[in-house]
Amino acid sequence: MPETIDLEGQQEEKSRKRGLSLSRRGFLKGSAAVGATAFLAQYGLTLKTSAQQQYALHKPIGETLTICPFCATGCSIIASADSSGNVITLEGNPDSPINSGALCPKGQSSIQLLSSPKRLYQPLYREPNSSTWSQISWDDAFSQIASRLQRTRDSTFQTTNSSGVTVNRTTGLAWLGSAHISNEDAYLIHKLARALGIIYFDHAARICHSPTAGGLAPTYGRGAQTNNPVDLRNADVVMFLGSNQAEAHPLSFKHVMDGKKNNPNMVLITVDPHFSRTAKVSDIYARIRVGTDIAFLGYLINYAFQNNRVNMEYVTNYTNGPALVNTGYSFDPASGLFSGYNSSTRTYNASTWAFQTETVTVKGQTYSVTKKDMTMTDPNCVFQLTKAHYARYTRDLVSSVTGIPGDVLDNIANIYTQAGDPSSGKTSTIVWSLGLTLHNHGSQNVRAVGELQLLLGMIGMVGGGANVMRGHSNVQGATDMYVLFDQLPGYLPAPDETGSPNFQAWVKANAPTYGYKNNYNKFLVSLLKAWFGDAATSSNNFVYDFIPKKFGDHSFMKTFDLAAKGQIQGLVILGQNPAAMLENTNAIRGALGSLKWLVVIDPFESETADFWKAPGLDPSKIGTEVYFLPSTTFLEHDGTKTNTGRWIQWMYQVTTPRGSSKTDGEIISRIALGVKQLYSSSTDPKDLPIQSLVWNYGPVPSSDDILKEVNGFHTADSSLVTNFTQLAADGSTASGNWIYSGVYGGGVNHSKSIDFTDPSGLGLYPNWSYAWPLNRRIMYNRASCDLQGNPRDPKRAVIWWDSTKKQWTGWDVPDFLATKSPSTPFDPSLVGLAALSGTDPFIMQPDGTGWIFAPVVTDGPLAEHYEPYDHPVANLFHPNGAQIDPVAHYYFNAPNDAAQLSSGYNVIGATGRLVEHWHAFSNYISWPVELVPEMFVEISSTLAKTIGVASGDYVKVSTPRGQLKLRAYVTGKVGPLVINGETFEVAWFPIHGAFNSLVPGQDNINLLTPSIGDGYQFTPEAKPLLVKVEKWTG
Amino acid sequence: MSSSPTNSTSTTSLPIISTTSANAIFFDSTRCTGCRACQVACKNWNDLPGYGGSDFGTEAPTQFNPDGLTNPRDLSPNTWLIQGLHEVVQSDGTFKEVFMRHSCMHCADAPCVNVCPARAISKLETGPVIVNKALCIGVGYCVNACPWHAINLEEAPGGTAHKCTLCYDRISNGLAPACVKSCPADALFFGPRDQMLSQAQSRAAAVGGTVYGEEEVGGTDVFYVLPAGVTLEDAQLPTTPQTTPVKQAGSSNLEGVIEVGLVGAVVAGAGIYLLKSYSERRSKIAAEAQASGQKEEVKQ
Repeated sequence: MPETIDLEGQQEEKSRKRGLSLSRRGFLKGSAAVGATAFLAQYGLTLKTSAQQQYALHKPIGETLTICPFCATGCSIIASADSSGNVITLEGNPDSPINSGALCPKGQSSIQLLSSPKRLYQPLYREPNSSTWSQISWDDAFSQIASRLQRTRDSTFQTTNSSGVTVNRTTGLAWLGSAHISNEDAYLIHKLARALGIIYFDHAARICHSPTAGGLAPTYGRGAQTNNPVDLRNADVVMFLGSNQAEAHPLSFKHVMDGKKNNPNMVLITVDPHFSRTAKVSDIYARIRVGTDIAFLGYLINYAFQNNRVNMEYVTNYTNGPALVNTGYSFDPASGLFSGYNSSTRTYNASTWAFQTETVTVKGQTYSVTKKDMTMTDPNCVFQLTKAHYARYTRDLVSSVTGIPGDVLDNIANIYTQAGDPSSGKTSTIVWSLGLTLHNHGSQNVRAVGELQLLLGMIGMVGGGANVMRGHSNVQGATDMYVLFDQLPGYLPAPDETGSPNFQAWVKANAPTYGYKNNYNKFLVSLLKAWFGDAATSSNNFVYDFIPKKFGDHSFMKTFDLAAKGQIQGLVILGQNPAAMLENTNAIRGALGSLKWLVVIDPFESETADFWKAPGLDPSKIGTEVYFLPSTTFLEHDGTKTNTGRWIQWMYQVTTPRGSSKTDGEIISRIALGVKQLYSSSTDPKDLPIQSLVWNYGPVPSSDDILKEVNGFHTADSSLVTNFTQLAADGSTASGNWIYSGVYGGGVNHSKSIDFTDPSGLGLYPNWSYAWPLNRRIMYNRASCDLQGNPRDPKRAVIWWDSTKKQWTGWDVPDFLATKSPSTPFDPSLVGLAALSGTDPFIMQPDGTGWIFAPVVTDGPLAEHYEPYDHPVANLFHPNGAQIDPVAHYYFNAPNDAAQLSSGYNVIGATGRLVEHWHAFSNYISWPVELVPEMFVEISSTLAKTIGVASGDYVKVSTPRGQLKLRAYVTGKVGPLVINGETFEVAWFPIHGAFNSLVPGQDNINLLTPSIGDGYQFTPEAKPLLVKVEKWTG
Repeated sequence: MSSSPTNSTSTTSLPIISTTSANAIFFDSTRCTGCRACQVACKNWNDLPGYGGSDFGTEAPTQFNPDGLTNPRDLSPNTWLIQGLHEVVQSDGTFKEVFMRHSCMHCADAPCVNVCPARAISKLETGPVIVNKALCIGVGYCVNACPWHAINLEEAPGGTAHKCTLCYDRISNGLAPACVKSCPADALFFGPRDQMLSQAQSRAAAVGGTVYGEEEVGGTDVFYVLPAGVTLEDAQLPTTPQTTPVKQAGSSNLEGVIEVGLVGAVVAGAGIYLLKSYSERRSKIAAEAQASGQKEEVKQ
């Protein structure tokens, strides 16, 4: 609302950007609620008005800063509680550069979470086969849970595997969650779980954005959003592909709307199966068949190659375009398979995908390095292989596969790839969320985005980048803390019984000679010191063997699959709701009923807590013991959360835990202390990890203390390290998560920084919160400069080489060695970052380049189109070859429960979000429920006519996995698609159904989704379906 | 509990809100994403319940709206603002969505004010039309008088009239109304009426749309810009807003009783609202209308 603000100089200019707002700075003091009149008088904010027109606020404006509990935009909230602890006001913080005082309908509703009718305040216990809860005291609950953890752990513990490798793991115990909790609590969970030997360990990221990390990390070196939501305002073209940002991330979308206002030539493109509210305000909308994103992106890549839209200087110097691939590598267009496929194991042997090497001699020593053809004409170089791979993605074929008319494809390709021509001065970026990830080839969807952005030279650029939108309020942070089975905090690979059976093997496998990962041994040792303290010494390899060793797939879906089979006996679920939100929900509810015991930690009586009451289930036949521990909402605890743009923000506690509920941190710590007590007198070596685990937090941990441990300290005197460059491999430092090291640098908690100045004018806000790593706002920003170190686009300059001072400088923290001159050559005689050249911008990569061709991704080094599990047509790229991802993971009845056209499943189904709801738990509060009281399926008027229903009638929707009764919503938002000459109807489903909703009779679309996992990251496919839609006759 | 920080680098940026003449809301439908943050922000600031199914309140649960997502479907004592998500099937079969605000228009010369026999409804100088619940006797003339159905009576015996207050307390303290502040899409603006009107007019000119609220009922303090090609019917707005003639204020035989009640309320300190003498208010509006050359529609 800039037009209404008085503009006087620079400071007002900043205020203007924050919108129409009364700045909160003057009166953010203390958490006590102050009477409105008093506070206004205190801070002199009385307006010059006639006396009778001065009205007191009917309630005070909030004074305590916290972070919205819904999506990962990271909106700052100001809230107040009264003297009884009831939160009475809550609104957006006008100072936040993220949300400028605004909040979406969910954020506005978050105040209702505190006293939702579905909130539980007392621990509960459900006996096997009982149909009711009974009360239990906290003490009894904690002691019984500790003894069950001990019993299940001990009875399923493996000290060594069949090869004699120390594995120290339990195969019968699992922990799932969460992405709602603070970073500090997530860190505690990881620390506790590994000490217990838990390998079946995952959280929401596995079932949402693991394919994003799986796609981005091999491509750029890190798996997170390269830029941040605020930066979207700087783009010339924003394409929403697999993102409904206006609904799923409304305040991130604010920056798109702001950009559009400042730059009328900005183009918004939405490519989506249904006409979302993002599409409504976009310039171009293309209706795509769900699950065909690689075909679409492949056409854009092909178009860029054919129309001189590849940024050749960038690709030559900053990517692995010139690298030569082994001559044994091939892709067979007929079978749709890359070389090395084993059809009996359904896996690839990737040896033929490796790069050719050559030896170079430096200072008398020879070194093996990747062989390159800097002219990029060799047919085996990545550039030529990529060009040839996507030459098959012709307009006609892609149009047939996706359903997007050819002229629309060309229009989008032309507009989007313009940025690849450096003379255009434009940037393009793609925004995605689960629309790209929840597919059997989700990682490859993200890889295709990654490839395209490298070819256009967009990574490192303000207004460019690869902009994933994470979904939960702290899913980025919980991923950084890696509450997931296959890595440790900070993305250090988890010990594997085959790949890293001992410490030395781990270092060899995971700390490559060149690139920043060469430091990984320092970070692992520092982690082990943080966890096991004095027990970790150089003579015992810092108790590397205390960490349980994984041996395969221990993911979310696998955990439930094994619960159903009886292997997983005890499960702790914290802040997750799989009985409503996990794919193939009937199978999930069945698996929960096969457990011996289940602990659910949640503020609400979720569908998972109540799974044994699910529609159609008979509690008397369900033998699972269930403990419910009531935790708190975001208003009742403090700590940090990390938004989708990697900004670590502090949340202050607004009120004390309501009723008898306890914070997640306290519940986790009391469980840990209980278990440690049980094992305190054990002499069994297998219990040493628990006995040695450093747990000095007491029953009520301090988030601030934990953040200091995460930041890292010198073990000699406990003084905090400045950042991760001080971490060492000799045991002299400890750090719980190296990538967060620096957040408490200099003894200052930078997550509390709320200085909203933006000297660059580009929206970097360097002193608002702290962005990992090292407060960099635009990752890979070296690539925003040319070879000489000058900004490629002066109006988007973030860093540059200062040849006088001999260092990189600018508005942002260089994602580069600050003193390395652009002319520094690659020096194979050095190690780590020092070896890389002055033009190697991707410092986490072993060769310093962005990987268009990524031979480490298990389902292929280049993205290839594969069909959804339920597919209406054969894969038109290879009709007689691979249909779905050839290494996709099967759970439960997959691959035998796909919906087939021949069985009458003839409507293409797609799932997505509504702005009014957030997963299931917005159904527990009245404002969101009032906006959208009942779940529905969007169908076209033609389908409605065919099946004889009117809008508002009930329909039965089914797949081989389940069925659901839903309201039919007849709308123009969906419509028929022509796929390979055949016309298909489309149905679109919101994902928010919950049987414990305030409106009875609801349930979730996941009853219909399959249990097939992404070939690389195990993430279940939830987006595409084939369904039968019939008039409800029950 | 640790305290939130104080930041000394702060500057105070107050919106320009006129304290002596009318302010207005400008809603730009062309930028609206239909998220309905405004609708919930209204409930949040004003502590209004949602229906939320059988567990909530005494009102009937909301149900799926077959015409789209608009919910609740009507303004009520508990819902003072509805952001309508209207779906229009055009004559050629194509589909169009129109996102439209439905709430009090804060008429410059408000029919509800004019018809209230209890003089419980006031038009503040700064824009808001507000109800003094202490004075409301629940006869409902205002309900009939409002062309936008924006004022509604509680159904319970003795129920009073409820409507959008334009967050008069917030604007009195330099804060934007809750709905405006909440908007993630910069589709809602608040400020002096003349500025809002000119902003609406230039936006309408830029997008080929139309301004609503400038002329209706003699002019309102809320302006809408409708996108090009969107009719009032599409937006579900009254094409010719009219009031239903009712018994005029001043002729009520309750008059004397009300005057006593009003004085009593003020004496009791219950009148936190601006209460100006009726004749003063009337003459001022008339003078302003004459000065600006607007059509006088005073119903006396």
